[in-house]
This record gives sequence, C-alpha cells and structure tokens, in this order.
Amino acid sequence: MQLTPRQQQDMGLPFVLDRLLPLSPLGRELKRALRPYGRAEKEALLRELNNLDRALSLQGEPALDRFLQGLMQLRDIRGTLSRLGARPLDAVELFELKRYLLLLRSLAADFERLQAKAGFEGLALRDAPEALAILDPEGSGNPAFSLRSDWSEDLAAVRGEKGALEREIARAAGEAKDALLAQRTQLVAREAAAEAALCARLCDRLSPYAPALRESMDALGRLDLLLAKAALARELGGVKPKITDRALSFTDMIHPAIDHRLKTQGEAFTPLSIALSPGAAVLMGANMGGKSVCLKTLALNVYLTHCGLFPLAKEAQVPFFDGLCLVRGEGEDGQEGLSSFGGELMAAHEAALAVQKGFCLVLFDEFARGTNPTEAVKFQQGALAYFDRSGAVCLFVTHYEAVAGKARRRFLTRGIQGLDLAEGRRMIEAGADKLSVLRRFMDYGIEEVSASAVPQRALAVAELMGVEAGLLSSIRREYITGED
Amino acid sequence: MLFDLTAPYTAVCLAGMCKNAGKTTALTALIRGARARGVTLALTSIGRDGEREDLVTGTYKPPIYVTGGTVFATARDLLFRCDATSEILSLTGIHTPLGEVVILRALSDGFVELAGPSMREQLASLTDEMKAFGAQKVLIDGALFRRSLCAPETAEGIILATGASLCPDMERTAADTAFVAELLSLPECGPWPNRAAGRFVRGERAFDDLSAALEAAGERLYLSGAFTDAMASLLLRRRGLPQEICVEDGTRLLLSRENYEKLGARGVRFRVRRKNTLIAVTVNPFSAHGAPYDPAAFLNAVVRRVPVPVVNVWEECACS
Repeated sequence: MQLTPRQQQDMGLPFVLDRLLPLSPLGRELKRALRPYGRAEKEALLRELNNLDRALSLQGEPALDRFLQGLMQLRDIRGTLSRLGARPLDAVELFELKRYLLLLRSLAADFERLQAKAGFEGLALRDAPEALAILDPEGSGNPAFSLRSDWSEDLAAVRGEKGALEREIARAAGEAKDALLAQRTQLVAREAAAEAALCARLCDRLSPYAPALRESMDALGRLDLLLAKAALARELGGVKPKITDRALSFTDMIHPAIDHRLKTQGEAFTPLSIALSPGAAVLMGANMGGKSVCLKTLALNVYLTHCGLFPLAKEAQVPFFDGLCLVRGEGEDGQEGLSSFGGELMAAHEAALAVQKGFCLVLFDEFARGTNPTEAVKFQQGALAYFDRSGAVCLFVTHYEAVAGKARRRFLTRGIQGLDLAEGRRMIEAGADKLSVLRRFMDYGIEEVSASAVPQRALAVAELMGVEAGLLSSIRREYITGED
Repeated sequence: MLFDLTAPYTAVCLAGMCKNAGKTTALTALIRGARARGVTLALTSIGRDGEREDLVTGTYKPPIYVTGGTVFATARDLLFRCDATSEILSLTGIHTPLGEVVILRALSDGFVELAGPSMREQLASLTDEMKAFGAQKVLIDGALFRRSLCAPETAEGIILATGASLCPDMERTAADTAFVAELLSLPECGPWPNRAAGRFVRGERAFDDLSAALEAAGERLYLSGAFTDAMASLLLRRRGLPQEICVEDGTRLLLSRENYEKLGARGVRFRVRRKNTLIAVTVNPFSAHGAPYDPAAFLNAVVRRVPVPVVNVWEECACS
C-alpha cells in the first residue's frame, strides 16, 4: 500500500506525522521509516494495534512519565555497540556505554511496571546488570567514567610514579622543571599503553553482551514510537479499529487537518459515517458539499490504520488491504509532465493492475472530470464496472446519474437541502464571508440513499455565492430553456 | 595577584588583542592562583584558538597545564592531546568540527587542549553544566576575533590581554588597548526598545536595513547585532547622524579605533544595553615578530590609559 509523496500530501498525512513525536533518536528513525504494513505482516499489524490500545491504558501511570523522561535521554549508541566486538572502545565510548546501561536499568524497571499493567505483546526490554557491573562494580549509579587504577596493576603503578613526579613538578621551576616534564612524557606514554590494555580487557568482557544490548536499543525505539502513537491518538482522538475480513466502515470519522483548520475559524468538521463492502459504490452531492473531503478522510484513516496508527473516528472497521488506490485529477503533474487527465489515466491504470494482485480500496474523485461530460460518463461507467467486478472496495465520486445508476450502493452528501436562500443573502449583505455562510447552510454529513437521482443544487450554490447578476441570470435562463 | 582580581566573578573570559598577546600566560597565572587559593576551576574555550605547533622543533605541547581536580571541556577529537588522567563527566550534545564537546575532570595534573562551543547559548549552558560539576569558577579562553562571545550573558567579567605582538609602536599598542578597554567599559543606555522585528530601531520604528533606519528621525539608534566598520563608513558618509548608537554590549562593537574616533568627532556616542565588566588588562612585553618593549614603560603606558588594574603576568608567574 504505497502512496506517492504527493498523494500523501493531498490526503493530509503530513499534518498527522508532524504531530507524531517520538522522544529518542531511535524512535525518530522508526518514524521516518513508517509505512503501511505489507501483505505478509497482518499479524504484526494486529499486534501493533493491540499494543497501541494497551499503551493508551497507561495514561497517568507514574512509571510512564519516568519512562518517557528516560527516552528523552536515550542516545543512539548502536555504532558503539557494533564496534564492541571488532575493536576496543575508547574511554568516551565506554562512558557512553555505561550511561546507556544505567539508563537501561531504570527504563527496564519502569517497563516491567508498565508491562504488568498493559501486557504488551512481542515487546521485551531486558536489563543487563552483568554488563553494568563491569563498568560500575560498586553499583554507585554514577554515570561518570574513568579507567580506574584499581582495575589494573600496571595502571596503578605508572600512575603512582606519575603522581609523585607531578608533585615534584608543581614545586620545581626553570630547567629543573623542564627536565621533570620530559620525564613525565615517558610516564604519560606508559599510562596510555596501560589504559589501552585495560580498555581491551574491559571490552573483551563486555562484547558477549553486545547483541542483547543492541536488541534492547531496538526495543526502546519501538516502544518510543508506540508511546508516541498513543500520545497522538489521545491528542487527535483515535479509536482502535476492528480488523475485518472485507467490510469497511467508519462511524463519525474526521479529517484532522481540515478539522484543525475549521476550528481555528470557529467552525467544526462534520463527522462522517460510511460503510462499504466489496463492489462499487458512488458518492453524490452538491458542489462544495464535501465529497472530496469525504474521500480524503476515508483514504487517510484507512492509511493510518495500515501504518499501525489509530484512525480518527468513534468506531472503525477496516479490512487488511493490499493496496490503496487514489485516482484524483489534481492539476498538472510537473514531475511527470502529464496533464491532469493524463495523471488520472496513469493512476487508474495502476489501480487496475493493483486490483489484479490483491485486495484493494479504490477511490475515484470525479474520474475524467477534465474531459467533456459525454466521454466522462463513459469513462466513469467503464471504470465503475471494471472495479466492481474486481472484488475491490470502491467509492466513486460522481455528478452523473447514469453512473450512479450502475453502482451497488449510493451515498449522498446532504448538502444545502435546508438552505434558506433569502436568509443567506441577508447575511452576506450584512457583511458575512460568503464561504462561511455557505458552510453554515451546508450539511457535510453523508447518508446512504436508494435513488440514483443526483441533486441539482449547483445553481443554489451559485446564487448564495453572489455570482455577478447578469451571469447568474444567463445561467438561470439555461435551466428554464432546458426544462422546455 | 591576577587571580584575586577575579574573586567576585564565577565566569571569566580571557580576550586577546592579537595572537601572542599573552592570553595563555594569563590563563596559566589564573590556574596557579586558583591552586594557591584552593579554588576548583573549570576551563573551556570559545571554539579553538588556532593550531599551536612548535615551529622550531616540530614537537607539540598543549600550552595549558592544569591541576588535578580541574573540570574542563574540550572537543572529542582533541582528547588524545590531553594527558592529564581524566574522568569523563558528560557528553554535552554540543557538536563542533572537532567532535562533540566532552566535560571531564582531571584526576591528575597534566596538559590539556581546549576547544569549546562557538555559539553564545551553548557556551552559557556549558558554563552552567561545569558549575554543576562542582567548579567554583569558570575560565573561558576567548578565541581571537570572537570577542563577541565574551558577552555578559556568558562571562561575568573579562580579562583583556595585550602585548608587543600587536604593533612595533608601543604607544600605539597602548592606545589601541585603551580603545578596546573603553568599548568594554561603555555606560548603559537605559530602557531597551521592545521590538522583536527589525535589526535596527530608531524612534518608534524598526528596520531591517541600516540606510532606512538612518533616514528616520530619532536621537538614538538601537542595533540588535554587531556594529561593524562597514556600518561606520555608511554613517560617516551621511549628514544628520543619531546622537547615540546603542548595542547589546561592548563586545558587539567591531569597528576600528579610527572610525570610532571619527564618529565621536561628529558627536556620536556609543552606549550599551548591558555593561561589560573589564576586570583587568594583562601586558606581554615580548613580541613574536620583533624586539620586545621595555616592560616597565609598557606597563606604565597602559596604566596611564585604562581605568582598571594592569598586570604583567610574566612577572607574576615567571613561567614563560
């Protein structure tokens, strides 16, 4: 289920990802690699969603706060760990390792408490007390690190000599001091050799623990991302989806980016509910009535689910799709050098191939809208029939009754059915913004209908928008002529 | 003793008038003073003060010899040049071209080479962290041409090192030193305009462009960054100059004595938001390029011109 960056952008994914904030470099690396679970990873997705649900139950646990604080201090020392077996680490690397082992000890203790409550599946975090004991034999817990004289007789001996000499140097002056400093240079070289030998011995003892430490670091990255997903679900209002065999349904789903934008304007996103099954359904409705928003909201929430994130709805049932195909004419595609129609054709071509390979969600937004209506109807009918037969779950946004008539199911955005045109005009004359007046009268909710009659409310929208009077009456005349 | 002059301050920056001005000797005098007084020091530098190589012998020795117990911060790639037995206290997350800045504690006496951060905020947080490790006084070896990092938010006080390497003419060296000392002693300008946008504020308005600010009315011109020679030249070409130019502190004034004096003659005064504290000036009568000055005459020439104590650190530590 791969989407191009442009499709991800169009769907509103960046808004969600910008709010997914792991605390450690390892979690951030996993976030960058976030992608939908593939065909063979259904079990892993189910486990991730279960774990996410459990992570949400930890809200308010003191151990969780400590764990998150610990993650903030976590540094990526995988490079150091992989060098551990290959060559001796230097003192700074041993310091990093000691600091990690101390952090791991407290993280593992808190994880144990969290695990007892949450019961995460397939997530383990193991402390490495034996490795820590090598670098902190007294168990002081002090992260400072030095190559200690009491760990090496050679080191103790040379440092003893060096210390005595340094005390002499402190008292000496002139040439005598220079001579003592020259002697000291010899001792410094011996000290460095003894330190290197000690580093090598320490690393020999530590290297057996490297694979387990690497595993714990990976586990911390996964936990970090999981907890970030939980925080995101709390912030945006996600729900654990039920993974179904074929049925797709959302109750009161929202699109977070559009919801956010509307809230900043003092308005609210109308939650959308829809239930689909394999075969072709159509979505009809007035212009500016939210059909494209519905399609984007559906695509985003299905995509989030497949990435192991909670969809933003009150209730969600999502089948495991192999592919998500979005066919939308979005202007010129600069990269491909294709016109809007060319881009749609390519997307439709890829969707046709995808449904041959696996179970897909196929979403068409007014296919071939850029071409003449006679041909557009034929394209839409043909595509609808093809994808209906494919077994994919399909939703076609259309304005054409001839297309809607061929669909198994029909959905309608409620639109401006309750519009009081006169009141709307009064509000606009009183200085209200045209778009916000339109939004006020527009019911963005959707419902399933049996009839395939497409509501003809374009004229009402144009009237409310206050299109220039001459132009509007010319359009209105065409309606009357048409009726004749 | 130079060290005793630093008693009221917990963070002191050493700035040099030129290379070989005697900054390192001043630092050595402070380290000796701290040892004598039993004060735990922390040392770092602003960036790295160039490559120090003994050109005659080709051998290398870091110039700073610390006492056991000293906390110091340097870049990871320079640790191999530090020969004091050390304990690693912290990796700071501050990255330099020579690697991450590491904080260590010397467990023995020994040579260290310093290379710290070159950004103001990083230097301030590093200073705090070193104090948290028990340092009673932080000494910052200020790199040449980076005087601006000795600003009050990083260092409470400044020691300015000057010496014969600046110029063969002793009187001119003394006058140039007095000029920098004056910049570091400028009086405060009073309330600072509360303007987030615009580098320059004049009257009630903020500007991104100096020329536009000069067109505006108002007796004071406020600058959020450095005041440079290029700006001074721009001012000197115009009529109707502001009466006061106000900068954050004296380390932001990066203009020549000549331009400073020309602007002064046109009635322009410089003021600062926060006053620097110049603790002392140290003098080095030896030159890396030619004949030394007469030590007593040089000391007197500087003493006559600057309002703070002047110390010949060579005499004080007899360690060169």
